[in-house]
Amino acid sequence: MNQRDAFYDNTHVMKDSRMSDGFTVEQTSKSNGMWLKLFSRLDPEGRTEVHYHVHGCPHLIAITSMAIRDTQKKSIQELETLDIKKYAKIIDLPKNKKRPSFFVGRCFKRMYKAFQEGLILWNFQLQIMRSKDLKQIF
Amino acid sequence: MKTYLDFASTTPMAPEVIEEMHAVMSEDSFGNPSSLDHQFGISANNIVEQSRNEVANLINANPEEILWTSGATESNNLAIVGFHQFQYKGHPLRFTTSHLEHKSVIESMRSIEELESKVSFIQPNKDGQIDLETFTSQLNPDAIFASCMHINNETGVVNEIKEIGKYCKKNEIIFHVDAAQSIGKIPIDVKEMCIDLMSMSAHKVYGPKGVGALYINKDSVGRVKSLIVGGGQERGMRSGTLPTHQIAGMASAYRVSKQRMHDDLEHIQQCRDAFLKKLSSLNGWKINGSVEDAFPGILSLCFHDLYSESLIYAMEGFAISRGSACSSDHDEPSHVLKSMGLLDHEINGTIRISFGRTTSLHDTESAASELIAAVTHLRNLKGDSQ
Repeated sequence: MNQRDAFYDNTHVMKDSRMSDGFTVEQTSKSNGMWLKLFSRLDPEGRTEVHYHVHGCPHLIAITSMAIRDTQKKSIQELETLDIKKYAKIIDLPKNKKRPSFFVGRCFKRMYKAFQEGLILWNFQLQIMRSKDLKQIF
Repeated sequence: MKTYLDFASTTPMAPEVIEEMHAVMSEDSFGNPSSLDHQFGISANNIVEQSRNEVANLINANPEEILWTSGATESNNLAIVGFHQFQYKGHPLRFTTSHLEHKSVIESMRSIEELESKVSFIQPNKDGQIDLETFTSQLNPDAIFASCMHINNETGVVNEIKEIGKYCKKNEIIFHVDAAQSIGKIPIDVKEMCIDLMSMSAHKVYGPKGVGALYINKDSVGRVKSLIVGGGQERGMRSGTLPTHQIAGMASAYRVSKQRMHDDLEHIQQCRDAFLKKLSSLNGWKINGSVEDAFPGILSLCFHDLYSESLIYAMEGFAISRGSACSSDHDEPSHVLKSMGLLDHEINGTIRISFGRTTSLHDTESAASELIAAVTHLRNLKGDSQ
């Protein structure tokens, strides 16, 4: 996928912002008004499903689109290995315009962190439920 | 191949201009126009002087009031700094200009401030225009020099040059006009408009790049101090061997523009009307600056909720721009739009579309359709429904 295709690809654009069973992370730049919002959740098999809204320069849009495409149906561990810099290389991001790449990278890190925290919370809730079940048994 | 809609930045050379320049370069006119000891130099000099006549003719000036430069940027520098240097006798002078001006005017003003002269800046009215009232209400009473552009290069707004010129003449203020965007496009009469100094360019009006001129009123100004010294060409006010073929190209462009001015203007008006009619089905945009007092060839469109860089990218079939070509390399927000009171996000969402002689009505309608598609796509990416 090249920059142009990525710029126009809207497959994973969030159509309905009301996401009840997932979480949203947002990155905003006060200096130039760019922002990126990621809507994420895990499917029943523990695989990722990520959608987005974006506002900014064509580089930001293209990098976001490429990264989101590669983020679908991944495990949380796989998500950690995602290398945003490779998209900057694909679109030949000018050296003086590295900001969009860092910007997307930061937003994805927050998403990964949110997934991890969600997983911890989920495990914790699972343990409580199990301990309640055990108490009921004994 | 993209369709060119950035005529405010520069224009393609007219076929007549290319033909004339080619002829000058091919013939025995390659001599130095200052070498009047032989036929080659005399022939080149004849072309230069004939061209001077044609440029003067377009603006109702005398040929000896036309000084060749490398373009409007140099003309602005020479008009402001050259005038200042010639008049400066160790006492600070008071100059005035507006926030709408081209950087070459603003930076020239900054440079005379370094010599302790004072510069005051006039804020445009809410329509992005310097009208007489705006000018007089903010004019410093000690000002001896005022500089005001004719057509703004970012918005197309036309300032009230004739009225301001008359006021300046009455109040003994030297009046400089940057006519880079207006020359050859709308009528200019330096006498009727009471202009003392005027900067002109060739490449904005289908002429070659790298050549321009400065009109210097021989009665009110007479001389400016040369910024480039050496050969003493142009009566000692601008040294350097004159580029005969470029000067001939400029004169040819001006001649063609004079002949076609009415038709060109009418055509550009039609292009603009067709474009805006098509765009009227879209919501969430506005035209920056006055609609009535504007040159129809330049449209500054604000999509406050979008990013201009992405809009330009999405308009892949068309060459359009963010604003001034001279400051497009920098990420600084436009000083012109800022002075008009636009907020950062409005400036970030502004694009400039400019029409010209070779723009077809079909081009303008296609551009509007593609702009609508681009806006729709970018708003979808933001999650905004239409």
